[in-house]
Amino acid sequence: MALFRSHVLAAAVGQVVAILTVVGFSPLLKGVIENLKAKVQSRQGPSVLQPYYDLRKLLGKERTVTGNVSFLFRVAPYVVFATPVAFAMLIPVLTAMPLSWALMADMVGSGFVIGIGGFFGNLAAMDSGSPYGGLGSSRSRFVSSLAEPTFIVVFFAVGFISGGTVPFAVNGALFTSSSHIVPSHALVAAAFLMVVLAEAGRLPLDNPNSSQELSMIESSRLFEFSGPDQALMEWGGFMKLFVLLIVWLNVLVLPLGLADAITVPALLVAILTLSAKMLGAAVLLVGIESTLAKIRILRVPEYLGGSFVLAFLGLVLYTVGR
Amino acid sequence: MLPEVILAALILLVTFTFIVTRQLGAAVSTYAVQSWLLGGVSIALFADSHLIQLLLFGLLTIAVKGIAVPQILRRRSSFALAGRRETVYFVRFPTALLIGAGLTLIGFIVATRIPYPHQLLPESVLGIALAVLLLGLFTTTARRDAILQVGGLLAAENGLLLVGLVLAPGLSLLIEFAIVLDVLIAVLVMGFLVARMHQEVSTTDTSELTRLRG
Repeated sequence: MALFRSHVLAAAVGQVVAILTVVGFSPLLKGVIENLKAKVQSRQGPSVLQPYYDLRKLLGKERTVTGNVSFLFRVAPYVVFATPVAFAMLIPVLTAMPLSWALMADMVGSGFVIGIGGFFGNLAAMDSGSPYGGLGSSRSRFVSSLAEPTFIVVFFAVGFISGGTVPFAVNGALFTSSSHIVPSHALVAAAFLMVVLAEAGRLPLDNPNSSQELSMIESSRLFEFSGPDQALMEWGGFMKLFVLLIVWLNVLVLPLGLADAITVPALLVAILTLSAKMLGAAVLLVGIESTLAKIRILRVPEYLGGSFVLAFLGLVLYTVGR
Repeated sequence: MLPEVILAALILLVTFTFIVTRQLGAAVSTYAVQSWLLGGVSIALFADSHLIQLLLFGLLTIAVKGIAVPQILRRRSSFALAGRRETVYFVRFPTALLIGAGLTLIGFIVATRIPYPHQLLPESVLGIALAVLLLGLFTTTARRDAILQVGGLLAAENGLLLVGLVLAPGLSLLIEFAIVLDVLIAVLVMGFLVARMHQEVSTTDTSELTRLRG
C-alpha cells in the first residue's frame, strides 16, 4: 500500500514536471525560432529570452476590456492557456510510461482538448465585434476544419498500426515493428507535420510575423486583448505549438531519450533530450519559414488536401504491405 | 536494413513533393534531393553487404544525378525560370495528387505480386520503387512544361534504378556506369531540344505546340 501511494506520488511529480516544462520552455522555443530566423535574414535578431520579457511586460499591465463584450471574452484567455496544459498531461512529454492522468483521453480526446482552446479563442475574437477578429476566426475555422480530416486519418493510421490510440501506448509501436511500416510511418509523420504547421499558424498558411491585418489568421484574433489577457493568449499560442511539436517528435519521429522512471537524473536527461529535439525542430521550422512563401488563402485546401492524401496513403499502404 | 528503408520512404515523400511543386527551380532541386537519397540507399546497402560496386554506384549517382544533371537543367531552363516561375498540369493540382496516390497504391499492389527474391532490401522498398517509377511517368505525361517533362522522366529513371537495387543489388558496375552516363547524355540532348523549342516558339509550355508548321 505504501508502495502504491509513493507510486502515485511519483506519477504526480512527473506530471507536474512535464507541465512545468511545457509552460516554462514554450516561450523559449518561440524566442529561439525568432532569433534563428533573424540570423538567417542576416539580422542580429531579438534575444532568445524576448518572449519572456514580453510576457512579463504584458502581465504587469492593466486589463482593458471593451464595454460590449460578454463573459466569454473574459473567460477565453484562461481557456486558451489551460487547454495546452491539459493536453500536456495526455502526451508523453518527458516519460515513456503513462502517468496517472494520461489515460483520461486518447488521441481523439486530446484532439478535442486542443480544439476547445481554438473554439474559445474564436468566440472571444468575434465577441469583441472587431472586424479583424471576425475575419481571423472565420479563417482559422476554415483552416482547422480542413485540417481535421488529416488529424483523424493520422490517428486512424497510428492506431491501426500500433493497436491503440493512447499516445503513450502508441509511442514505441511505430519503431519496434518490422520494416514494412516505415513507408506508412514516413507519410503519416509528414502529413502530421503539415497539419501541425497549419494548426499552430506557422508559415505556409499564416505568417506569424505579419503586420498586415488583412493577411493575418491567428494574430488578428488577439487584437482586442490587452495586458494579462493578451499574455495568456500569446502564451497559450506558444504552448500549442510546443505541445503539437512534442507529439510530432516524441510519438511520430524520435521517441528516444524519454525517462523510464521518475527520478531526478532521468527527468533531467529527458528535459535535455527534449531541448535538443526542440532545437532540431526549431531549425526545421526556420528552414521551412525561410524558404517557403505564404500560400494564398484559396490554395489552403490544396495544401491540407495534400496532407490528407499523404495520411490516407500511409493508412492504405500499411494494409497493402501486410 | 532500416536506414535503407527510411531513405527509400523519404524518396517516396520527395517524389510527392516533386509532383506538387509549382516552381520550376524548386522541382529541379527536388529531383536533386531524390538523387542524393537514391545514392544514400546505395551507400547504406554497401555498408550492409560490402559490395564495392554499390558504393561506387552511390557516389556516381550523387555526383552525376545529384549535382551535374540538376546544374545542366538549371542552366538550360534559366530562360524559362526568368520569365515565368509557375507551371501547371493538364489536370488540376488536387486531381494530380489523387492520381499520384492511386499510382502509389498500384505500385505497392504490383510489388506484392512480383516473385520476390529475398535480397538485401525488404519488399516495401520494391513498392516504393515502382511507385516512384509510376509517379515520374505520370509527371512526364501530365506536366505542361517541357523542362518538367524531362524532370519526370529522370525521376522515373531514379525509381527504375531503385527497382534494380531491390531486385539485383550489385549489378555489374559496367552496366551501372553506362546507365548513369546515358542519363547525362540524355539530359544534354533533351536540354538542347528544350532550348531549341524555346528559341522557336518562345515558350517551354508544350500545350502551345498544337499547329504543325512546314
